[in-house]
Amino acid sequence: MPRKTFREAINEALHLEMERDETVLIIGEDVSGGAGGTSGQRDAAGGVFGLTKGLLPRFGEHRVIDTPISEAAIIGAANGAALAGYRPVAEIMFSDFIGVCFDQILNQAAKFRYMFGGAKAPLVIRMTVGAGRSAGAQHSQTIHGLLSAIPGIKVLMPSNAYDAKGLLLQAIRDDDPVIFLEHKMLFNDACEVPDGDYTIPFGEGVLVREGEHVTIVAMGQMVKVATAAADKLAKEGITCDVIDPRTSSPLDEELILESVRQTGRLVVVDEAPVRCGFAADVARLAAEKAFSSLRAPVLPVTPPHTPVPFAPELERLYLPDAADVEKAVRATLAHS
Amino acid sequence: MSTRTKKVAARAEVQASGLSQEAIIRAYRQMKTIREFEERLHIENATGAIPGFTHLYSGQEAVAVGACEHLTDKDFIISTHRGHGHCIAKGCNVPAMMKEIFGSRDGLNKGKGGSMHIADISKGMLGANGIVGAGQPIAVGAAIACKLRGEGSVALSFTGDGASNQGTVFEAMNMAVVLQVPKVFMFENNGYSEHTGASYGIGCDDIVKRIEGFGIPVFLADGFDFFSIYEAMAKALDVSRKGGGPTAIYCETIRYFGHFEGDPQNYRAKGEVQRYREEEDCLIKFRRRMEQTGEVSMEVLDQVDAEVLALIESSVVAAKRAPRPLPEDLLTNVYNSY
Amino acid sequence: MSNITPIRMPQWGLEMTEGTLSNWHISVGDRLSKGAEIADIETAKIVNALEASQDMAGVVRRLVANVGDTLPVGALLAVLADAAAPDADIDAFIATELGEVPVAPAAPAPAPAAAPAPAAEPVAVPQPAAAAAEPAPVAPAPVQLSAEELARVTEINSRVQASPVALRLANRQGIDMSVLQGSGRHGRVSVDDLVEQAGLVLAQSDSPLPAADNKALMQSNTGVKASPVALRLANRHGIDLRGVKGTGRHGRVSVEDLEALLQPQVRCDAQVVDAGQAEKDAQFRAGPAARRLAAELGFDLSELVPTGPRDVVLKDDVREAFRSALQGMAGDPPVMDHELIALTPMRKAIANSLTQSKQTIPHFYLTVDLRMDALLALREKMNARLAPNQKKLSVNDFIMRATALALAEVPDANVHYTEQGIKRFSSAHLCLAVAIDGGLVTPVIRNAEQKGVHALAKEAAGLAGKARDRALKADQLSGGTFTVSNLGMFGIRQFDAVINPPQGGILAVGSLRRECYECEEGGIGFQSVITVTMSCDHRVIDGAVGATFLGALRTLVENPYSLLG
Repeated sequence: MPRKTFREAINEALHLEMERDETVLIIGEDVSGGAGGTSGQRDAAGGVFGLTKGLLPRFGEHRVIDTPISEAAIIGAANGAALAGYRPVAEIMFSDFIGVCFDQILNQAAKFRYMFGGAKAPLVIRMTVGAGRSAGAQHSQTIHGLLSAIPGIKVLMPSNAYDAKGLLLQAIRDDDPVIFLEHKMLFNDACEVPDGDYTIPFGEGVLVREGEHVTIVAMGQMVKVATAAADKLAKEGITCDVIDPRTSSPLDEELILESVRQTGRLVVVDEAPVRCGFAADVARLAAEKAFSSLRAPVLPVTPPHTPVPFAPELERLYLPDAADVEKAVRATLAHS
Repeated sequence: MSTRTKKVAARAEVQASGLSQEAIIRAYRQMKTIREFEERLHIENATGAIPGFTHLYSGQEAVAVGACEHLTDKDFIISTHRGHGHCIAKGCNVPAMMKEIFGSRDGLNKGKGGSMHIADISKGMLGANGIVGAGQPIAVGAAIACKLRGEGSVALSFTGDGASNQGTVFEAMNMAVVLQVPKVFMFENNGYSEHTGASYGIGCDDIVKRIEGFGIPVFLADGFDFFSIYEAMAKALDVSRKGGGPTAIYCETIRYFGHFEGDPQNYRAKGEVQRYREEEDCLIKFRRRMEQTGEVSMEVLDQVDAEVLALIESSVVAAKRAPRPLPEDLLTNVYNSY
Repeated sequence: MSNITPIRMPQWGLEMTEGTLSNWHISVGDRLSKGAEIADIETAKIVNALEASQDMAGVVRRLVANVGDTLPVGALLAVLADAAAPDADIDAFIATELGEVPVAPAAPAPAPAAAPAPAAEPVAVPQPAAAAAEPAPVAPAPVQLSAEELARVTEINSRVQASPVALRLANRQGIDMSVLQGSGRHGRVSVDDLVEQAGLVLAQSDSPLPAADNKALMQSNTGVKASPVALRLANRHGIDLRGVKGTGRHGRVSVEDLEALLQPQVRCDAQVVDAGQAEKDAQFRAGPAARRLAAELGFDLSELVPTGPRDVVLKDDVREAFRSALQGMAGDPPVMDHELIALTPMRKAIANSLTQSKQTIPHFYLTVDLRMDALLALREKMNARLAPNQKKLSVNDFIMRATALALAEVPDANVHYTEQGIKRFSSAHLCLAVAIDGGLVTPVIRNAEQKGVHALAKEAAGLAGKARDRALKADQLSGGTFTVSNLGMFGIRQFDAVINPPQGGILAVGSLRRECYECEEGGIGFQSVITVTMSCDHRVIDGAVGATFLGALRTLVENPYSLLG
């Protein structure tokens, strides 16, 4: 089976789906790039990370729409086009920019179906997330927790190329508003990705590693961190279930609980600070529904309650690493 | 300084409108329906029968109807928080609207939206919106869809003087021009942005200049005159329906009631509303013109008045009797599937 | 799929949650028409016959439940289908239906059902057991599957939509998931489905944690070339592979190389020296007191069966192990000095009800002596008038009559306690306590205050007879407002009865005795006396009310002509 990078997998998904369904549109800043430039060359960028390359030449500028820097208008337009019967895939370059268009997500897209008594708004909003390249506080956040708290939208964050393609195809076909989070540190990671059409249902996680003693839940970039820790611990005979839920809304609560009921110990690794975030929610889930199975407190492994720092050594400190996860695992084991 | 300097001068001689009798009667009926709908809600609201906030459109009927009479179900509109008038003008079901405002599960939004979110996507009415300035970008998206469909349909947004200061409206105007979409921006300046006069909030005192500054052609109209709005809209559509990109209409009008029902309106001079109701009212003006041109008789209009009153009465009665939402309705329609 | 009709455990009365199948009346091949008796089912108080409510299609194909099985309401008892329907279909239906249906130990064979109950109950009860009994604590005997079987099942399971943990467990235990109904996300098979439909016993992972001194060892063993199995064995037995000569492939350490070091032992921790024992013990959860006791008595915590919550070893567990050990050491096999009688449904019901009554109701007791001479004289006269074959009136019949009238007179004593408030009844629905084989029942005489002594006597006798025959209907056992319990025939002078909730009181009637008393005029006389004690629920009946009731009762009894008419 061919190996493809995360970037290639997403690009492939967009090509496939735009071919299959002519109501799919791409809209965002520099999704193609080059409009109004002096070289006269269009598709100069294909997205700032190259994820939308090749789409404008193939599908035309009516369906691949470069916009001015107007996030509120971009997402608003996506909302309107969705209500009017199309399937727009809008892009917010960095999820941190959600501040300027949050109303169109929070109060509009998420609530159309409910407020209007059944209206359909099948849009996808792609955003990049994640820290690790000193992009600073305003270009490095991972907001899946924030977004998962909003009823009415779905939130996905694949950790690898295979999941990225399957989830994106499913997202575009899904009739609800979906936020697709692309971790910028994973774009060059490659794995086996089938050529054809396949989808991954939402709310179904995977066991990336299997074990008996501790359950570790992680998403996005943190999956690699969790598996590194799990592999190291396995050498000593401490084995872990590492769960990648893949989608944080809907969340595969069942899988997490099934594993925790077996192991009795839970560590949640997350790239966002713990307060009111994804890690806190998973811990709440275990405390609420698997309390009698727990043999140790649930330990979150997250950054501190600070913005993302700029200097590389500080950013390294900020982000959880395998040693942090290992420490947490051992702490749960040491508990009676 | 006042912003209200673009009043279109009243016509010297009154000509026949050029519309068919049927169209004239229809337009009158629509305006009268909005008027009676809103006047009745003003009364019902005072009794406490209506949950939540309502924002009434009385006084501005000519704008909604003058614009929407040109539209079909294939065209889209998006409204503001003051949405009943736009909703009725777009052809949505009046009894269903009334039920929605009273909160029945048989309402237009199944009791889940209420006055501020009243909508009917199937009729191209993309909803009243509680967020000022949210509708305009959404309408740009609907206009993108219209452009792709290539059937000559358009999207129309209504923007008040207050919303005209919102960043999202600027973004929407710019985006509409950049993408050259079939979008009509209707700016209805009713003089007040909540409790603040329009003259305070608009820094340059000239909404029209701003619109033009974005590169959108503006057609001026008299907000108290149905026919003036109708004509301006026809001109705008002549551009937008034919691929000429976005257009705008600017008019001045007045709202008779407060920003919301319950607003003490301390910002208004005494007698201001009374004067407008007596001297500038769009329905009175409509009648007067018909008297002058003779296109439709007063008896016919009286008959329409009676029918409209009966419709509103029966709608209210039905709404009060209509079934309330069930507990399970709380959980429906969050997602299509989860 | 063939037309298959299940026959299920019915629900008779809202409180019934399970029943015991005491007798089949059908066999495989029978065709059932309306009214046909299917089986006898015993509940807490009744044995009743389950009948076909209409002519049923098909024939009896399988009797699924066994005589003596106690099953929850809704459980599958038997299966009907066309005679031609293939067995495989029947099997599949049963397999999907059955799952883990709890089976309690068989109750001792009850008295065979007497006259069949008249009311025909519907056969198919759609509702699942609302309050099913706890699953039997007995772990299912692990089915040892061959490697080929396991592989086959794993292959099948790879094509089934299931949660990853469910897949893992199913493969490990050789459970074929393709026959299961998935109820997890998107219809996938979840662990709960394995538990409910395939008998999976979900236990927490008991994989031993590596001991502290083992961790470093395991870390270093990873660096030594060894076969995977040898590595696992070495880690488990704490063998340092660096000291082992490898003679396997490419010089790696093989299992054979380890054999010399591995002594035949049952327990892996036998290798660990005592110094490490404490460390090992630390893995097993036990409180400090239990640990000390275990150490004193010479027990390794790993040998003990933990019964504390979350598998914690308690002191009692240590004691239990010690006791067993002692028994083992006593030489002769221990003699069974008792007989274990299984609890019948009725016994369980009595236990539950009276325990709850005693634990929650604030009982207090009022005792009076009733002077019986006048009543005894009246009774003799009335009995003399009866025909020889008529049953004589008993003292209790009169006391019941008096109780009913007293309750009508003092309705504040004729009450129920409920959370919503006190229910005060205008009519006295008297329960009489009837001892039957294996327990006690309290059938009800409705509107007792409207029935004369003869009527009460007749009805009471009828109910008592039915009670002994286990032929009472549900409605004859419910709705009572007050109870009279009489142990006089056993010579009991006085006793305090336990209130039947939700009733507010109960009257305990003692035996007749002669006692002497001081006459008004002076001197000593003798009188017949019965001591009665009223147990009152202080939440609804105060001392004054109780006393008033007893006062009314006494007045009626001591002026017995007031009981007539």
